[in-house]
Amino acid sequence: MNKYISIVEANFKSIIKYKTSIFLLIMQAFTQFVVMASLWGVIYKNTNVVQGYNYYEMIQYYFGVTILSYFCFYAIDWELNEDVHSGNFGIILLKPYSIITYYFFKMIGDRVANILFGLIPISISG
Amino acid sequence: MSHCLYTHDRNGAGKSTTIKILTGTLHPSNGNINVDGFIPYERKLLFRKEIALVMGNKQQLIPDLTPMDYFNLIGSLYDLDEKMLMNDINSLTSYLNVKDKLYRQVRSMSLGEKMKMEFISAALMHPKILFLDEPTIGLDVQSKKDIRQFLLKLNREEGTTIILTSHDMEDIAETCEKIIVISEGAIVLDEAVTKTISNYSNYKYLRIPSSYLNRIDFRHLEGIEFIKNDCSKALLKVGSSQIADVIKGLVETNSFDDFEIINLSLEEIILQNYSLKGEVDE
Repeated sequence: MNKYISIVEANFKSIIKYKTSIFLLIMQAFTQFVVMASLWGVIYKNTNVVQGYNYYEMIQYYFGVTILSYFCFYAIDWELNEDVHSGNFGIILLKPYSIITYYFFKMIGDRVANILFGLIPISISG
Repeated sequence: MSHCLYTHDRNGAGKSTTIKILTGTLHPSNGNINVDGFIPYERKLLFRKEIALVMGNKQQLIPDLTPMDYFNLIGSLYDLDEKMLMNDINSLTSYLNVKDKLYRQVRSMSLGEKMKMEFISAALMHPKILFLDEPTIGLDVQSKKDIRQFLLKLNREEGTTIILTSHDMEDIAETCEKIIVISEGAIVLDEAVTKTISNYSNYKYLRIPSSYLNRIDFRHLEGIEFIKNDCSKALLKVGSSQIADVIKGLVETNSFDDFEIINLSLEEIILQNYSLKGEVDE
């Protein structure tokens, strides 16, 4: 299991290596949040409940869906495509791990960084 | 197990393809392949743990991270003992003079430093077989020398079998025991490097201006053999014991005053006796 945690750790470190990357992660999540909160704010001006959810519940629902979407819409196919075209896939094949689990844990590292530096600062400030 | 050498003479001859087949990345289109008792393309876990690959034109280090981060990753992937890993990192980085670069981002390192780190990461895996594909390409003279010494140390101290493909004959002459030359898809030479060199140590080579050639009557000069004519210079092969007599004859009979006696390097031996032979046969 240690080897997979190391893959998570390496990819996580790689993503947060630059301050600009962290800033962009926060800005990306913040922009999405502001747009959605404003949109639902307009909708809830004329009503208190939509489909059984009040405004705050809707925002919580939005957060939940966003976290899930981080894991559902990860461009693993694109990453695989890039590795094949760059020739890195041949190197990955030689390493002592399963290819599928390698990409899975690489995704975990990437997504943890996105959640940590995207959603969490916003949810705290919210 | 002693280390082995492997080289091709031209671009596109199939060096990298052979390495890919030997490491299990590609399936051979026909025939059988066996590497240390494994069929490489089955990619068994034990086989993958026994081999390492370093490619001169393909980086395995993670550009955004430091070499130390990558070495720790290697330690986890190959289940290496933490204390042993740190000892290896310290001794290998000291040996290659890159200890002060351990915590520097890979992206900001020079090509030579990156390659040294690549070699260290391969050595940390303690592979039984180390595959090297053009490992010294683009490196400066000192880095090449350091890496060759490093390979010799790895082979001597760890018993690692090294399979190296290179265009650089100095890589081969300095680090390998055995040479295989492939030309036109066929093995044209497969023997110990020392044997290849000793086969030609009984000869000296005489380089003269091409314009002298039509003044030489080869029928009256025993032990002299025409090798090639390149632009303005011609190369003649002469037995070491006869060189003095041959030169004396050429100077006295033909009034030669411009010539050079040379010992062929391994590169020249290969090029003149194997690659060129292929072209003549065509």
